[in-house]
Amino acid sequence: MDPLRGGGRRRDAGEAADGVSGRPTGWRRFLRLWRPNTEADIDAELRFHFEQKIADLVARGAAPDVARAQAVAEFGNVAAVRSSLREIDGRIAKHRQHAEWWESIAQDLGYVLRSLRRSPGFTVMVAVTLALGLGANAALFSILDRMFLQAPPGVADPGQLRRVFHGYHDSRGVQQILSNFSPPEFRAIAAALPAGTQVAGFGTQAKVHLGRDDSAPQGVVIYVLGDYFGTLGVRLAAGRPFDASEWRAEAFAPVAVISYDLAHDRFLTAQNAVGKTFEIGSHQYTVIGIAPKPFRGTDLDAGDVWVPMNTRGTWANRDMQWYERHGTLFIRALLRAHDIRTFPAIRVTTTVALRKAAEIRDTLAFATFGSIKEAVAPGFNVSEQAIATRLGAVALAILLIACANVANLLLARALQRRREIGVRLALGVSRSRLVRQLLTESLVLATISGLAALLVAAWTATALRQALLPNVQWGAPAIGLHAVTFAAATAVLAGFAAGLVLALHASRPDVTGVLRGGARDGGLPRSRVRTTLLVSQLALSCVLLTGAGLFVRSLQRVETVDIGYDAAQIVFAGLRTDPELGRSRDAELDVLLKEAAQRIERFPGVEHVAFTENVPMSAFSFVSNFLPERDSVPTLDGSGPIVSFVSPGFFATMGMRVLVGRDFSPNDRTGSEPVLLVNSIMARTLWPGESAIGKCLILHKREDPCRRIIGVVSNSHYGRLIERPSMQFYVPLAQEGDDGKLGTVGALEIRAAIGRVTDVGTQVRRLLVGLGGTGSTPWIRTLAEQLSPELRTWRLGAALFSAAGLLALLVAAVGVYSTLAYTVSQRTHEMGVRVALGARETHILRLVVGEGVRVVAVGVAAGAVIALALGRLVASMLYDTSPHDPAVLVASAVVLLGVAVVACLVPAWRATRADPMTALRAE
Amino acid sequence: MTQHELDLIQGTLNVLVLRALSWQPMHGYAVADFIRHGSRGTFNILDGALYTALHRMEELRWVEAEWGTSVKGKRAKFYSLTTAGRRALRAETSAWTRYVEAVAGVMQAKPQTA
Repeated sequence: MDPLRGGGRRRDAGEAADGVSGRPTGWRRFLRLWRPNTEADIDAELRFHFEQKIADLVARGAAPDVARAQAVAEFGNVAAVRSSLREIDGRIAKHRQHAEWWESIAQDLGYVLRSLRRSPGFTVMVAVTLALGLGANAALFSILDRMFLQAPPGVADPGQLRRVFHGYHDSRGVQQILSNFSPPEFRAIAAALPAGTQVAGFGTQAKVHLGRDDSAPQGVVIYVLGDYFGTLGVRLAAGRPFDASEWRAEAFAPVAVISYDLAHDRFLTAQNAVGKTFEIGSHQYTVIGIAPKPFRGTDLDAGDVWVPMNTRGTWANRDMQWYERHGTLFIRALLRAHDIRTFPAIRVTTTVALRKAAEIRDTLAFATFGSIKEAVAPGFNVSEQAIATRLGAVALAILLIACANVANLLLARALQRRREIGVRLALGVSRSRLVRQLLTESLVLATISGLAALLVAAWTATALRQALLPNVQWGAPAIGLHAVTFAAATAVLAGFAAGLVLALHASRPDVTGVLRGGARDGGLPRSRVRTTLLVSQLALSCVLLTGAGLFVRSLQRVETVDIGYDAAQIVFAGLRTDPELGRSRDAELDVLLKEAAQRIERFPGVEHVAFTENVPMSAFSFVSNFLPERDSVPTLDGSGPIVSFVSPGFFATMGMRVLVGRDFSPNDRTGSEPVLLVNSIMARTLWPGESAIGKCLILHKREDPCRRIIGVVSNSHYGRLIERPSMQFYVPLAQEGDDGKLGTVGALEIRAAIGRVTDVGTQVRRLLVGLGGTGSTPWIRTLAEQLSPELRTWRLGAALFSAAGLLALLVAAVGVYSTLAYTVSQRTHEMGVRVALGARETHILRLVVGEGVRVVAVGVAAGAVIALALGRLVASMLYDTSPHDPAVLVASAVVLLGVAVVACLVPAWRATRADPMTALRAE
Repeated sequence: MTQHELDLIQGTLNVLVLRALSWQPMHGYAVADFIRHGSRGTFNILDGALYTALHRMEELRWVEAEWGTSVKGKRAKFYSLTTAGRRALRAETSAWTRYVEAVAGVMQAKPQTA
């Protein structure tokens, strides 16, 4: 027992001199390198002091007792000193530990960097693989973040806000959600809301020319009903929001709030823009306010201009007709409740109001509330939402593949270095230090890859944004703080994941075995881990390839969908006019367009011309309709027939066929017998098993005259590329009115000869510019242009999934190659012996390739099973394509196997080059 | 004692220890011996205070400690000056000299009549 030792107990210092301890000082000193023992050191130092002092005093003639007493007296309070020394030394030890720790990290880093520089090929391979995986993820994250995680920028207290949706049950009892309301419905909802809530409506129109004519840049115009800015809590950057005299439905105030960016583009500064005027078509607006920079409306399509709804150009403004229309749904409703607990009660009130207002559709309608984030709200363009989320999963799969590949590469490298590792272990490097080094290595690689990934992501995110959601206001650069954080986190995780597999695997080789065996068979069995990694990588690649195949197949089918029109030949045209400039839409425009139709008919390359009230595939209408002697008209999926008001020659122009009966003629006009044509779905639904010809249908009011059906036409789509079959019927434009008022021409349809669409479009534009004169703006677009945004979604899906599939294929090929190349290099000896014993080149090739293909086949088989199981997740995004399409499965398996065989050939060929002499001499 | 006197004593002890170590690395006992003999027994510094000062200086990195063997073959902790310690010694010495001169100046001054 050390006498001076112990928690502050005072002992006679003299004992120290007697008890010279037999503690082995040698190993203590050695140990201190690892674990400083401050306590013992203090003891030893003080003991030395007392021994020395007492010895000196005794040597000078003092009695031992006296010497001891003097030594203690001259020292002071031993216990107090000891405890303060302990405190100081504790601090010193801690500093030293920190320093040592940093030093060892620096050492590890230096070691790792040196060894990476020695094998640049490996480093680049890992960095590229991981960068692709991480980059794809960061890019997608930046998109998903904006779509699903963040509230629309610029909106105050988004938690209090809801979008109101219109729910109903279709004839099969399936719940359907509509995102728009008709004006009467919106009015009813707004009137029913209790105090403490705010409501506003809006409608969005994209691709509006923000200027006098078609050459002006296009933008998104948001038509506002009610206190839109107040409800959203948006504080304008300059100017003022609409006031009640402007936002009320009846008001006609040509005032506008414009986006911050638009203000800067047009008027240089926000302040400067207030009070200025600008035009939308032929309408002139005065700018009264500038939205704050981030605010571009609540939807993903970024708004440029907000104007009161009643100023919307194509409507009959002052007469408020639009405000009474039941059939057209275009108002989206925003609701703010200052107490969110009241939402359930408000929902009930709203539902009651909605049922009263919804005259035409069913009485089981209900109101439902959803997020103001467009992408998570019901009724959002489902295919884009689905693509975005599925792509997230795909990106994750790519990352997993990349990680598996990197782990495999790291492992191969570690195995190559296992002699080095063995030597280091033998030299006394601790396993934990070794594991740390391996982890450091993979983290360094992850960091390098992470930086490269940001480059990949910055580039792909911009491209993806453009491709996936081109009109979205992103509010942040492609790679913002969120995405960088995400990339960093995934990089570190990926680094750890890859490194951990490796560290667990490589840190326990049998040291003596490794040292004894030389470079050949170092005592490690052929790795099961590596095979598993390779197999899972191949399986995932197979899944992604299959996905890509399915999307490509689906796109092929969509591109050949028959919408019932000759889409490639049709041009739409019309004029936008401004009643403020003294042009009456009803009278003059009608005459103008009819005259234009006659002239266009004689243009070269024009086959037919027709005119209608609405632009086909762009707008559609319902009209109340009744069957004589029946209580109700049957519906399809809960929706009634769609009506179009058309001129004679419309069907020929659009490429539709009159199947039975006759087409409209110029003689079907006011005063003559009212007639209709129905499409064959309507004929079949209303009069199954009978001929529709001669039957009749009453429009508007039950007491109105019944209109005779004179023909049945082929079916066509009314709004979208992919849609359910719909009942449609056609009314001669010249007979539309039931109250003596005639329908007006809103659009011309022109059928151009094949390949003449552009040419005809140019001629028509020239004509309309001349005809329209001042106060009107011509517009021209082809049906193909109108359809392209919809096709874009499908093309996009196919393109993105194909890119992902190719990426996976590439990474898998690298994986197969590197694994096999390593195996072959390890078996140089065996190959040499085989060659020496007379094995032919083909034998060796078959041996190596066969081994590779066996692993690949297992991976592909597993992938096929997973692909079959996951198929239903993408089923909703495919058109007319089974997620279990055998051709696609087989094709992707064959492609993967083919690539794998090629990847095997290089190492196999190298194996045949094994020189028996070299191999045997290495023994 | 006032705070000022404490500072003075603390500073004095530091400068004495640094001075002792400026000759050669020493263990604590030798430093105590050096000061006791150098002052011819004038200073009555407790050995404990000396060790505390040594360890503090080690924390300040003015001195480095290393285990070695004493003349008599015993294991002892030897302290030596670091570069920072030498710098501190220079600074403390000049401060000390100024202090001594100031005290001496006051002691020799006579009252001046205006």
